[in-house]
Amino acid sequence: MLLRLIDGISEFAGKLCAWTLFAIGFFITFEVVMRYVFNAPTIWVDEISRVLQVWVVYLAAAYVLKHREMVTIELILSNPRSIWRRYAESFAIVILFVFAGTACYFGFQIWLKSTLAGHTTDTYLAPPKMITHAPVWVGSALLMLQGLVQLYRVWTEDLPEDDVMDGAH
Amino acid sequence: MEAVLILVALMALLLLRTPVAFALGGLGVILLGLKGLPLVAVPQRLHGSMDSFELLAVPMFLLMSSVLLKGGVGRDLYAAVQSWVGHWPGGLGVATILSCTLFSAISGSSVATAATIGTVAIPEMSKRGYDKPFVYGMLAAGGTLGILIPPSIPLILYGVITESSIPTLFLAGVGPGLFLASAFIVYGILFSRFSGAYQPMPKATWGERARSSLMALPTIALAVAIVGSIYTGIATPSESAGLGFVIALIMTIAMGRMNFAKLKEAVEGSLKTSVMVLIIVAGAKVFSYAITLYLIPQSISAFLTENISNPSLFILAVGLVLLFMGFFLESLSMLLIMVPVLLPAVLNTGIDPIWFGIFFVVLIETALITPPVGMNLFVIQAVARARLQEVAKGAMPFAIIMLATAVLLWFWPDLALYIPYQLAR
Repeated sequence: MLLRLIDGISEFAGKLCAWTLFAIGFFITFEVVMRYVFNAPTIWVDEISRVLQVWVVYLAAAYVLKHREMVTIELILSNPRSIWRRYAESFAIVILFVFAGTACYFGFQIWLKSTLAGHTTDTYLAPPKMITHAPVWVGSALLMLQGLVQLYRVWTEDLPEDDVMDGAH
Repeated sequence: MEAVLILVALMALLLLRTPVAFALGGLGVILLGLKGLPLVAVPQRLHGSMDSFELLAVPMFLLMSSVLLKGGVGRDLYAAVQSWVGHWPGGLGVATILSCTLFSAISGSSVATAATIGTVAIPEMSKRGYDKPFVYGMLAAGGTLGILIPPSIPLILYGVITESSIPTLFLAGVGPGLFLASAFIVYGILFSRFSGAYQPMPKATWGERARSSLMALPTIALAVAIVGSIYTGIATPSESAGLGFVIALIMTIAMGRMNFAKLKEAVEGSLKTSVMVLIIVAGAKVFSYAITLYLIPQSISAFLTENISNPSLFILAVGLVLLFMGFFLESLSMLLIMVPVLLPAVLNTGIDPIWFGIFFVVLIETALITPPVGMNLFVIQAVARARLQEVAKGAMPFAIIMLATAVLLWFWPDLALYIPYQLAR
């Protein structure tokens, strides 16, 4: 039940991020058209697109992990039935925790401080940092949750064969 | 000594199948922690690394090529080029490389180029009796043009890391890209003529040529528009990628080749690839921050400049190191690990960072087709259901051509630099 809930959140976050990227494409096109056709460049496309990109990358990291599409060097330990492969994959999740745990803990501290102080960014649109500084810790938290699910799967399910065509877009 | 230990630790993590992003980020965190440096810098670096409009070119170009792929442009391109040159001696090989070159102008990824053209070209060439290892090698090598001919994901990342102009890097990739494509074509024609292992194609009629060219025309026009808009400075690479994506979408819908199911696949697929690339960039940012605080790039730079004062020897040493690392590392990791380490030494030696970017990418291309870790070899192996040895054997002559091009770049830097510095001035 809990596993399905975490999978569901990662899946939803991934799909939301995918269509956010789609929208960014249209924002950028809008900017170019406004600049050249109407001679009226926008003031929001650059900043909004950057803020959304930060959200997309960190929020969708768990989705990519769930689909086992993080870039990995598949040179040794290729046999999915070997116990050493399971140890290696578990170790990789420990390293994930070191990385994402640090990002989540300290990212949350920075975010909390800015949010309580009501800080905004020093840019033209000046959005609240509560929004711009949340993706790193929110995304890292979701990544750790998905990491736990993957760790459970490493020891309870058959591991898949390596698939080089993942990400061949 | 510290530098060696860090490199060994990183290699061990990567070989133990830790995803590259987590290996870089995790090791970066551990290094910072060991020196008692403030870890609050980690989320700050992670946020800063993605807060970049230049980097948006990566997901936008991936989205565009994903939409075009789902719209079946690979088949159109190959059919059009084949109708013009298919009847030449070794004509299908020529058509394959030309299709890879054209597809490279709308795709920034070598894997996508090799997979797309490979899916169409391998069955066609095999049917016509071409030597199998030759076919596989040609496709693996042709695919690598995707990262040299603009747009190019590695060149965008190189530009972001080194704060070099991405349009200038793109323009610098054109000359060596076209040179390599021509060299592959010449080798292909010579191989086919001397081995005799092919059945000539009948010459296409003018009607067939007109029909197939008309189908490929929108894609070729889009490629020209993308390169042209960056070249003339009308749009930044990110803008031209975003615009290219919207035009590609309109184009495939107008041609009746896009429906919601395909669009969904394209959008979700390109998200996965984008995040897979960008999360490595984020991890590399933490790693390079940590090694900078350990003064690793500075000490390597000092070591190199003290011991190797001759720029030719320096480039030879760097080339050999990259070639060696390319046997084991995949291309993006190699770029994101080695560029921050080598950049200070490159600048100290007085080498043009734009030239170095192109030299680096040519070596990455070679790494993509040399075993044991050669991404394009694996892709062609999967597409053709062939043996890795066959693909690697066929790719060897192409790897030699690439290395020769890297050497040529040193003696004739204008091969890369003439277009951005003279022609585009």
